[in-house]
Amino acid sequence: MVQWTEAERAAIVSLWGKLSPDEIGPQALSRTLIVYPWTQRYFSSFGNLSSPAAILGNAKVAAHGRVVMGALDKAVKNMDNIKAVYNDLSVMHSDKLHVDPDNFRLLSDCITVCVAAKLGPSVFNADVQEAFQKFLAVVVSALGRQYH
Amino acid sequence: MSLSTKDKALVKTFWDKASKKADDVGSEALSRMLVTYPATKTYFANWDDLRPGSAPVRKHGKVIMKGLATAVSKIDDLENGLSKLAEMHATKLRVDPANFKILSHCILVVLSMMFWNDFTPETHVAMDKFLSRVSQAMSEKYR
Repeated sequence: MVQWTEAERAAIVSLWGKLSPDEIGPQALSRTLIVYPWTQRYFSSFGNLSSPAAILGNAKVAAHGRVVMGALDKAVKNMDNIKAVYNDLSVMHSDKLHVDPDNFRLLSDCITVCVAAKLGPSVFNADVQEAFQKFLAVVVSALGRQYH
Repeated sequence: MSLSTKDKALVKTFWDKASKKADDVGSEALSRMLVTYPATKTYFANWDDLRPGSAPVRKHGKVIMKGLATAVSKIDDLENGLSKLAEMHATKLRVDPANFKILSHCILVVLSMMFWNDFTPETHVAMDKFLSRVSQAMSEKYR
């Protein structure tokens, strides 16, 4: 089981409270599709992804960004139980969506970049970054857990 | 993955701005790497202070940013341009090349915080590709 220090818990909850999921989710997902274009392979039903402008303006991308943040919200609210909470999501990403788990890492890097920019260096200091990236690593691990 | 003409132009334009705060970028990126990825501290066991923003961290942050400035100036031939640095990291420092990726990520996070308005998605992808190519050039002499 993951061990969280009190400082890490506090950092993650506090940081999460400062974010608008409707802003960060779409931003992070758009960045992932732009910065790592091979990730677009999973979104062929989303319509026009042919340029950064198209991706940034794509309503389906934005909507899906919000879905992803909703799932992360669940993880924040269940920090001691992320593996169990994400069990079905992991099965779905493996068996139904067939997503290479390395993509979860790419998305989490973009989430970090967007969150860092939103909060700035004094709020998103080194200790907060450590806690947040640890949290994202746990989420990424939980999502990959049911792959077989 | 190689850098297109557009990528190189984006990197140079962005670097023009970012390099004005090179010392801060270097110090922040290194500080964050040491805290977020504690295994990286093993390479700096001889420092007396590994805390964010400490004197050795600030000093070394500058060294790293100087290396990046060299990379930008040699963007058309990174393998040759970084060959001495690559040799040093491979044979003298023997830094596991996986760490280049880790530092690159921390640099990107700091750049996004300090220069968000300029760190557009197109610039982000160009910088990510650039740092990835730099990491590759730095890994050239390992074996």
